[in-house]
Amino acid sequence: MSDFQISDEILIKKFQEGDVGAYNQLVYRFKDRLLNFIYRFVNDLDQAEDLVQDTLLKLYTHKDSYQEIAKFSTWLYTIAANLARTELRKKKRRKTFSVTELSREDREFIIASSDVDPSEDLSSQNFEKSVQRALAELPDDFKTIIILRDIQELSYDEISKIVDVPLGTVKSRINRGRVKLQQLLKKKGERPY
Amino acid sequence: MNCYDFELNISAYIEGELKQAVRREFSTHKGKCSICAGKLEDIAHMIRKLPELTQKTTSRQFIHNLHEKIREIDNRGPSIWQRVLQLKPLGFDPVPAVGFAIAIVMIIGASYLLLNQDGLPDVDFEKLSTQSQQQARPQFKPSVITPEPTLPTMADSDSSVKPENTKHLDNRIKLVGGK
Repeated sequence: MSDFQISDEILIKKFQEGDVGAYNQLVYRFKDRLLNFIYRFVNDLDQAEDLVQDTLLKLYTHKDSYQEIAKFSTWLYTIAANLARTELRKKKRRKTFSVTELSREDREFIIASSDVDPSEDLSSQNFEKSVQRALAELPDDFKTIIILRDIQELSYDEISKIVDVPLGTVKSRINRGRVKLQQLLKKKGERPY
Repeated sequence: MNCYDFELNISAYIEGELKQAVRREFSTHKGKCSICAGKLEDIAHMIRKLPELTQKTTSRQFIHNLHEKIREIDNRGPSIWQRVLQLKPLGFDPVPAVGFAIAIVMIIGASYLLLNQDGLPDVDFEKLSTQSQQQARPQFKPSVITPEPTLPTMADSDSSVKPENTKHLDNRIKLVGGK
């Protein structure tokens, strides 16, 4: 049986029994998925990478906390979402605009927040940057769900477990989040599609 | 269906979760309201485009850095508390042993304080008993109502000379007597 056929749940069980190779497999499976999730959340690639490392370290140190009542990916995304939310809260509390808060690409050219530079030529931005900026303005609750559903393409059921809210709430937040995101994109004069 | 209800149902419509009747109403409103129709089109397009965003990948040093951190954790060993908790002096588990020791110390401390309390008087029990006997015997006192010094007495009322300021008191006495 090849490693790709082994489920995440079997791998974590092996790791819980002391197989470090299983941990490495899980790291390879999830590192990029987690990076994309957290990056959309914190809007900073370096910081996102640090948070992915923290998530995977938590997996290493708290491996016994996982119980096979939930999907492994759900459990791991919950850890990542909590870390990302905590980081975002810290960031908001600091209320300063430092170099590290900008993405890698931006850092090479400007040292300013997109919010404080109205002269920025929006039309020159591509869809990705527009979405990233609009996401940054969305409330955390909507943002998490939009990223998980529309970017990571997780099921409603998984999202409900990750964010720990009922399925109906997830669906209504998805709808409201999408409407808000579309409004934000439109407000910025961005019509990338 | 109005615009507000239309907006509430956009995602359900796109994902095909609307019931037939609601779907029909939704479609009817879409045909009538160009603003709502445009909104639906924009959101549907946005949803199609979002998964196509560039997928980021971790840097080359990612795995190396992660392994470094794991090595650090492994080399760190147990914390001081974990080490303390692992200790088993005289074969006892540390937590109940510490609890038991604290309880013993508290009992000894409380006993010491109680036994060495200052301020207990030297009691002369003979004197105390005679005093209590005297207090127990009630002394007879005739119940004489002594008038208040400020009010005029009966003797004053007999006197021929009445002060002017006691006139109103005489009136009051008459009224109380009903005469």
